[in-house]
Amino acid sequence: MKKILLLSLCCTFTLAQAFAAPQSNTTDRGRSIAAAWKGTDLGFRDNVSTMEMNLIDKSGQTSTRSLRMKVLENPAKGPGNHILMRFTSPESVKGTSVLVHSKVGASDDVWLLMPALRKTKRIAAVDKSGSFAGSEFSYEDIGTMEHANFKYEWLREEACNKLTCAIVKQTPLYPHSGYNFIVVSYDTLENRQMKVEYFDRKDQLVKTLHLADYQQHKGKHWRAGTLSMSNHITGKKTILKMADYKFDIGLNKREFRPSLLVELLE
Amino acid sequence: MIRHPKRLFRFRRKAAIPAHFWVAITLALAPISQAWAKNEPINYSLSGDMGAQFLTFSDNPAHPDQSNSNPQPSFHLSPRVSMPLPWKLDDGRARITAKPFIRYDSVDPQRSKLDIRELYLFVDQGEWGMRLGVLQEHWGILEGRRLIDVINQIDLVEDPRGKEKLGQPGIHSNILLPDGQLDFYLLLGHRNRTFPGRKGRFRGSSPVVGEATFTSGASARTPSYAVRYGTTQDILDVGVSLFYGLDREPNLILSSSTNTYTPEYRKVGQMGIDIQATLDHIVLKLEALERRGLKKNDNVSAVSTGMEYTFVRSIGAWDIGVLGEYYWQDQGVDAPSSTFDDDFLVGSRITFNDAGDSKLLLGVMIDHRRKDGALSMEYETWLNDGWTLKLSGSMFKTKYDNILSGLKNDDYIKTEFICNF
Repeated sequence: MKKILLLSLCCTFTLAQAFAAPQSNTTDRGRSIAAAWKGTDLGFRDNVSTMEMNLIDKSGQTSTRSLRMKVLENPAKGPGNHILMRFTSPESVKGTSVLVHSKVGASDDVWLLMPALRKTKRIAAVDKSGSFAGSEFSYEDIGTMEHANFKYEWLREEACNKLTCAIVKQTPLYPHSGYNFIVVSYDTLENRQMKVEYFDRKDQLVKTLHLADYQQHKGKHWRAGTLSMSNHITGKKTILKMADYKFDIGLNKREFRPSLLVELLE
Repeated sequence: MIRHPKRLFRFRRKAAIPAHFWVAITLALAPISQAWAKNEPINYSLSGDMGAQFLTFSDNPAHPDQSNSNPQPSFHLSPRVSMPLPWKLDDGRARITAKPFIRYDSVDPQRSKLDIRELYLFVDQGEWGMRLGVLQEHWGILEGRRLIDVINQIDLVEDPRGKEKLGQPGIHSNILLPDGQLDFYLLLGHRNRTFPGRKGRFRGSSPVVGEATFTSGASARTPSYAVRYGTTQDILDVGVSLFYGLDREPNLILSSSTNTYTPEYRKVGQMGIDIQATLDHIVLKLEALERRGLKKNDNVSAVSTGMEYTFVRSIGAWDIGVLGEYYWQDQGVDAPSSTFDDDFLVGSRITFNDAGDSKLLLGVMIDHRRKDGALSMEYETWLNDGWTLKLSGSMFKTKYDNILSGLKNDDYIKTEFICNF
């Protein structure tokens, strides 16, 4: 009995080493870069902002929507931010709201409020790879990319605009992602995400997100001013312009309760 | 939402809002009038919609008094005003919301009306909230039938699918619990269900025009009480509700001398359960109802179940959902025969994810015991930023002479141009 135990222990040890050794370098490097990015966000507590969403089709026709966005940091003292997005124009969608409770190791909880019906609807996990309000962003893309939700692999360093970027391959660990992996470029100076490439289940590059016009808030937290998502399959594009960032509003978790979305519309 | 059109036979109106209720509303409005008097600026938000609607029928009407007007045009206006109140609350806020609804119908005078859909004072105090006034509330999760949805009366003449509801006077208080919430309702005054008039479509050979009657010592002023506990546990959303008061669904008593129906409302007590399981690929829904009245025939047991599965981006950017629902009901033999005793709905919801945010809902409701059914569709798209086009319609198929046969000439398409402001 003792022998078997010893043998299996030995086996486990060597096996673990065998698997860990070749990848530890790139894995750790990738993970620490992503952790540094997430670290700049720690302690932001809450913020509100406005968002202008421009949907551009193949022929260049643009339709514009405006939203108001609220984010609450880890209300349960665990990982997982809460995000509330509410359309303010055009009139036909005014009040339509999306509530995301980000999760670790599981797919996010997403609720949709249709103001005409005054009803809140919870969305099934798989549907989260679907389009967010007709845009090139999916519900999954607008979540907060929790650190523990990915497996990391550092790929290389390369020049990006005037900066140097670390390129990290991130494989989602939560179920039902629309992507096999994403490739994120972090600038080596401030650890900001500059570009995200999305690869679908067939390892094909389907979308590219460029993040630009970064501004620093509270001397620590970086927020991109412009996010442009290009869909390489459809040729369509969505540009988000973020503005009017305010921090430490004192948002409470009540505002992020799905059952109260209707009542707190105004 | 697809709702079975047969419902419209089980059904009239006139609001009974008690006087003390208006006093309360006036008191709530006092701070606004104060601010006005002091010439302080009043913040308010105005939104809402107005629209033109055309009901186009496939056939001439089946019953003698019905109008031949085809299409049947009508107009509506429904502004919504919301105003924060300048009250000093520690950690909360207060506001007042008003949403009247005006419909002018060129054919059926019963359909022309002014209703207060909402007019309430809302106080939000952190873990506790309250609404006082005329309320709208929606319970239930199924697409084709809202079994447990009992707070508001249905405005059936406005929408034959029963999707529109009349404002309900009352008090609603809401308490947040760590993983759920408790809702209490005191509902003051009964609203009678609205029905199409003599000239209107979507009715049987006998219109429901009689004055409402009440059994078991009740009256239009009899209050109703309701409580609901809702909780979210991982993938499950569960709600348990209790209701005691006047049933929203009347018995229809046929008067052979005038050939009209008179609605009769009675006191009932009921318990409802709603459960939604949001799984990875599929959403499963269940609603159950147990109702007890004074007479044996008022007792009802009913269960509705449903599922929805969505194929994300299945054709281009289209999300295609498949939905199926089944409705079962058990009731006393002399009771008004239920139209949902053994029915099912099969449907599809398509979200086009285009610039017009177009959506299509198709459904077939089949009563396989009575061998009849209805095909329904709803389509919605933006014309531009302010205008929405809505198309909806139903086709009715009936084999035997039954409750649905009154509708046999009422296959319709409803075209609506709605301006959102």
